[in-house]
Amino acid sequence: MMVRTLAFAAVAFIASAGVAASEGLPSKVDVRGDRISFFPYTNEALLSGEGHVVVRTGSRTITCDALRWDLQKNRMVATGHVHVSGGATTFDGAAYVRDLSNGDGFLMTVDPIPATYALHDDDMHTASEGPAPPKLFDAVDLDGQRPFMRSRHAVVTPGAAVRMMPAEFPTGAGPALSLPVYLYTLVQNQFIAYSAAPSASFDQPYSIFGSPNSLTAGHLRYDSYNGFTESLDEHLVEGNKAYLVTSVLPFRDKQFDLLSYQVIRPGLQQTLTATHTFGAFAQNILTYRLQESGKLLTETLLYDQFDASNSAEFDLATYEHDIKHFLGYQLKTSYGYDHNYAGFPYSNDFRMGADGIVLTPTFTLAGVALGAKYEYSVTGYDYPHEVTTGTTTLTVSRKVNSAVNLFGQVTIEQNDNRYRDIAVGEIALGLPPIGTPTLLYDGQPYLGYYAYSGLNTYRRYEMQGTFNGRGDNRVQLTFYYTHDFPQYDGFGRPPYYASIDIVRRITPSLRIEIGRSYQFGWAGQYLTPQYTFGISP
Amino acid sequence: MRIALAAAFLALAFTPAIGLAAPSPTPAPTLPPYASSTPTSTPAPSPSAAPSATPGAISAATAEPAVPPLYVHGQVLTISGGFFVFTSGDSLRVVSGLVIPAGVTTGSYVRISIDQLGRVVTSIELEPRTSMAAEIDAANIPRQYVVVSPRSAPVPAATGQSQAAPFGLVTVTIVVHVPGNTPSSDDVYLATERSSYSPAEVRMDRVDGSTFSTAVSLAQGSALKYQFTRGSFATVERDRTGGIVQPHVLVAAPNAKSSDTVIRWADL
Repeated sequence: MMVRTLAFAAVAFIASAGVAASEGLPSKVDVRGDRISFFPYTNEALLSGEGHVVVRTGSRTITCDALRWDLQKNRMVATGHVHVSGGATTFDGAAYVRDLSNGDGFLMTVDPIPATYALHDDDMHTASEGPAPPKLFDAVDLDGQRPFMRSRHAVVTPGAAVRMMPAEFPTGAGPALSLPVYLYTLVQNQFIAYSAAPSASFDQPYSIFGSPNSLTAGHLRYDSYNGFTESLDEHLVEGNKAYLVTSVLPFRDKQFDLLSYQVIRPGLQQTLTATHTFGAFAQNILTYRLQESGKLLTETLLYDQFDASNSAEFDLATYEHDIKHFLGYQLKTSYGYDHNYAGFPYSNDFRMGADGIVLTPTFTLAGVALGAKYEYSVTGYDYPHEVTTGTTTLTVSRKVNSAVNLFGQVTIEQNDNRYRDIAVGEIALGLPPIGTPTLLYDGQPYLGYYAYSGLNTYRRYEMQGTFNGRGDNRVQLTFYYTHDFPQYDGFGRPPYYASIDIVRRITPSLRIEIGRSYQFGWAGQYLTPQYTFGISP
Repeated sequence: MRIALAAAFLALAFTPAIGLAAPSPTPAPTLPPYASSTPTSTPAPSPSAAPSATPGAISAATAEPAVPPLYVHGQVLTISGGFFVFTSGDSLRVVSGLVIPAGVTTGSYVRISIDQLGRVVTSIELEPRTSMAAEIDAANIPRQYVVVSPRSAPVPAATGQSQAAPFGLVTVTIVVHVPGNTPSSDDVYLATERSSYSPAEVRMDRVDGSTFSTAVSLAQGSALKYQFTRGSFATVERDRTGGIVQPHVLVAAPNAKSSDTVIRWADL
């Protein structure tokens, strides 16, 4: 119920912002030619046309040999045998520049000698000859640049989207991929591209409908757990003040995600995220955060819900302060309430906590960069129950040369999870029944990871070497050694872990990342290989 | 070496047509009657020696010029009605019968040779990789070669502006410093507009305890917009007050490097 209420409130808020129409721009421009190409990363977004180009908007028609259209500035340059008709007058020229937002234009004629005319709304009766403004005819060199997509027909909604029918996507590695239609949104707002779905190794959006503040998109996704799957996203944005994204993964993942954010006023924001997983193990997860950032402190109200259990918390935190060349620190205190649906070891409880981080700046000694961080947190529950955690992190790194970088990190975490009622604590901490102990792979009884009255230590030693080749090609080797107390064979973290990660740019627009990892001497296995795979532009 | 690698990539990957070049040479433009003229008293800058014919250049000039040709490089706006027009708006007459190399289109970088006596363009070379000894930029073209209606004559602009052609892939480096409360075991990712800000697009390399780095190949001159995450949009970067951070922008140039700072994360 809570999820629905908040979701509807967020949707209603953003929807009430309405559609921001792009004033002064034509609602639709039809572009045809021998080759119409779209370059989204050149001059923000550029549409080019080569050969027998025909541009139609309303009753106006422009024909030319070549077209360069800056879709962000809405500035169009037509060159070669330009013929403009359907406006106030009909005229010809060698080059023609038009600002779609205000109707101003410039025409260059070469008959009998080159001359430039300024005109408005294509009316040559009022045109005036004069020098061309600087950079009037600036055009991007597209030689060597691969278009994102190309076609013989594009329909542009200025300020909103480019739709190509059909759309061909040159890959550079073989035949181009073709789709009957593709819509590319031009909205300059990164939230229109956000997805609420879990991250994936590969995510190719396929826009379906778009407006200046909304987008409906399908996604082809790949992740190592689900493999290839699909999702459907709906995005609503209001400038840089708010966004709401919903994602549905109807197939293998079978889940619904919501991600929303709103700036209520500068310094005060609210965030709502929610996930519903369908199926036999249905879950509902919701997180709401209201945060105000003052001059000295941030105040945060947090609410979490996991199925029928929930918790609320109020935090006061400082910003990260730096004592120059010495150390930095950040402090936080919190007061919260927990409700456990299962009622064990308690149903309702209040807690109070304090956290602190102290860290050194990175300093260099004999070519080696060093740094350290210590984090401490203590939480006291009314139950009574206390949890204290202290974590020390030491980092060391060395840039051997321009291609090779070495990195090492040691993390030591000490944890004291203490229940004052020993009998309850032993159960709460996961200690197995004494009469029927779980046996480990080596035949020894498993006493539970939180044995020794909840005191334990996690140590991790990490080494990483990165070789950066030419371009963005890379080979990375990583090795972990963990030494925990208590540590049981087959439970907790494997003591040895090694991985190799290779990044290779196959083509100018295709980069793949392949990883393979191994776990040693754990759970009766000496080698547990795993693959990871990623792909990016 | 990076340019060489980029060129190799392009040679491999751009085998299919890429939508820039016309498949066949454009027909020679129709020219107005050739206007004979004599050089003015102000001599134009001329190379010390006439270079030999350049591979790839297609020239209609058959007679050996009395004085060496003038070489000018710049961007084409159009070749139409017997005129060659730079994107600066400067127009030059072209010799009758000039054949335009395949691939020359609006925005292409070319080198033209000008017959200094006839004041006509006699050859066009597409995307020259090397410079002639006395080649000049189109911004500095002597005005006596430019044909323009008196009222359309441009106001003289500052000279010496280079129109060096951007070309090929370059590798840029993006470095980011993260706040102290970033969990030590978390990776930092680059989310770029190329993937519609996929939050785990590029995993960055650890440089030290609070610094991450990655290299990205981009088309030279293109602009990359990006943000930093810890793998999801729930962990995207925010400004000091928790507000939205506009995407960072890096313009691709050889050895370009950005150094960014994440002030805070959305979830911390």
